[in-house]
Amino acid sequence: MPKLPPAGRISTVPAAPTSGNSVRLIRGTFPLAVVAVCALLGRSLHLPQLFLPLMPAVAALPAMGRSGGRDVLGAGAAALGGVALLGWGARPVNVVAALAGVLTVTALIRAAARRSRRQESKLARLGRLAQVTQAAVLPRPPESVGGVRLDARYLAATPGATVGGDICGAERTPFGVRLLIGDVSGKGLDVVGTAAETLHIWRELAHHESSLAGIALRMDTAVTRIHHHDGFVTALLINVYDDGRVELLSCGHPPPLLVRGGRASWLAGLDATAPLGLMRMVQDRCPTAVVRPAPDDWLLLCTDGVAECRNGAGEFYPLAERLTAFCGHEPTVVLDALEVDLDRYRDGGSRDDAMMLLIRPPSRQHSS
Amino acid sequence: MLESKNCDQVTLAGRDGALTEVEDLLRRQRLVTVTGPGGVGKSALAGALARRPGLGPDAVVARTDLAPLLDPGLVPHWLARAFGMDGPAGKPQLAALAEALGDTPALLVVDTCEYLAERCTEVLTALVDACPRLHVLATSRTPLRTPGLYPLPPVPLDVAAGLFTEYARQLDAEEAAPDAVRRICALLDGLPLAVRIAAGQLAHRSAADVLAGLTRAEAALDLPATAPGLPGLPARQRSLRDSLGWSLRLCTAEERLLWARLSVFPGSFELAQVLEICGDELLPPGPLVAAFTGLAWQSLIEPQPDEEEGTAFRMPRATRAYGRQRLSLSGEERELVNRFLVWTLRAS
Repeated sequence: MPKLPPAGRISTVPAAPTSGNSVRLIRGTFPLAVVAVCALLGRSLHLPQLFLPLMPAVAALPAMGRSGGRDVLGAGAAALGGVALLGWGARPVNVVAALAGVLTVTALIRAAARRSRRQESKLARLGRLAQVTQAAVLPRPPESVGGVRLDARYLAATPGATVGGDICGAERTPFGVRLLIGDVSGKGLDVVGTAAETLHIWRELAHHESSLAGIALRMDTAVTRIHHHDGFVTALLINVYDDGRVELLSCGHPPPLLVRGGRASWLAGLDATAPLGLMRMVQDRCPTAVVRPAPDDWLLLCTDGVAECRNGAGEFYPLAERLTAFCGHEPTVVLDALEVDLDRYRDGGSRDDAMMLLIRPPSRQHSS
Repeated sequence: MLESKNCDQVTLAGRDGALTEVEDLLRRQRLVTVTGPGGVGKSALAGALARRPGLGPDAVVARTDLAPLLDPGLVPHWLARAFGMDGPAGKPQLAALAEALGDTPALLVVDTCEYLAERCTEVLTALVDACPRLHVLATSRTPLRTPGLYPLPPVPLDVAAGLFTEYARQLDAEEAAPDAVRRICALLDGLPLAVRIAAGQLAHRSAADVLAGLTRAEAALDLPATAPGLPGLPARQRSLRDSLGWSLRLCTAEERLLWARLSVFPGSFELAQVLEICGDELLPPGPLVAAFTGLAWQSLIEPQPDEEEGTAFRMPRATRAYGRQRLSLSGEERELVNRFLVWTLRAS
């Protein structure tokens, strides 16, 4: 698998907070301090039998926090010491009862701590597994494919997930560099399977179909087959030719934004056909458009989650305006800013999977 | 397209022999092209064959019309879409479809191959070679260069008259005199589409009016084929002009020129006369003969049946009227008429 760049929001599974040394020291010595206070009070007040029954409770102190085996044993030992100090001269039956209590509680707490530690490490393992699996199912594109530089960001609808119904892909093929951004109808984790299968089919077709229309028609047939409900996939298919031309075919997908000279605008003149899975409704019409970007142009591809993002008041996110405002920085910085801005904007509004893919076509010194 | 069974029986009147012959040919050749001029009923015939269980009840039947397709590269894709199967994504469409079909018994009907004739020939031949139990029936105004060819002629006069009467009955028009009907059908050269278009006029005109109108052949060109009460037709067959315009797009520049010039012949003509009257520096003998063959190949001119040895040809009336209008638009009409008159005077 190609090395994946850090995606915008690969959130890590919450790991155990690493406690500092001082915290650990306080936690380790706390039972000892309690035993010392109890022993001092018991002896000075001549009421050891009053404090003796508290010793099993001291042994149970590690249960209050996240404690390791050593903490449990330490607390147990402290409690035993307390029993010894307070039991001197007390009635043997009380001493034996306290002793039994301390031993039982220590054993129980130790077993519980072990189990919780095992569960934690299992959870961490599953978290890593989920991360790797998500990256394998819907991998982010590499930083550069055939001279086309790419930056991707994904804001998943499901908290903690890095996958959803949005897909993107980039392949170097005999026909040039081919790019895809798509959006499977439906939301979040329910459509991950369909999304992965759609991406897989596109990747295969990208290497064997000579025209974008051919890819679209075959994907349409495939989507009709894999979508078990009345679903569809909107997609923008792109072919970057070696001579610098960029051909686009939109299957019901938002057009890209062209960033030129510090200004962003929606690319005009792109005649969209029906989404994949519904192309029969337009008699398989596949109109493509060809543009020839200038050397420093960027193209920002996005899904509905960005293009049709609304705030709590129902207003659309002014993407072109905001993108223009952020222009003048490195692509990564621009995308980071856009991502934070978008996340803030849609807070309170409806949440959908959202993906952005920034493309920088190869700059050619000798353009023909 | 909506096609009721009843309407099917109407459009297939007089085609029983053709149905059987094409079916037999299809069993032997596996790839058969039905050819003939626009409106002769190729698609109706192919559609009827698609509904017959001739190849076995379990055969998969798929049908597609390539008329809207412009990109020859997408021919295999349209065929695959007709079957609703794609095959492995890791292969080009033609190979993938062949693999998906395998040895499934199947009948594929492909309409309107004339625009992409070369590519269709290539793809269909490859597909039939790769799939041992696939039969393909193509319809095309120009024959595909494949072994199985079936030229479909216009229907005989009495069948055409029957067609006309049946359409009139569907429109609840008053019954026309058999003699008028026969004369109308004779003027239309027995072309089923033309008969249907003329019958559609009965919705608001009498048969005598229709007949009077048709004696000016160019008037027939623009009659609408979509009469209320008759099922729909594709855009290229909404009128005879649309149908002929579709054919014109298939012609080379020389064929178009010759088509226009041949319209000066009111009746039949032979190649020698054509060379003399239509040939000049714009149309030298070599290209002229090629264009003449091309027009015959596309069924735009047809051998005169009653002449011996088959050297005489004629142009159907509507085709001629269309050519005549193009001749007049080109500004050559007076010159060609002069040449024709000079030749006639000399010959007499």
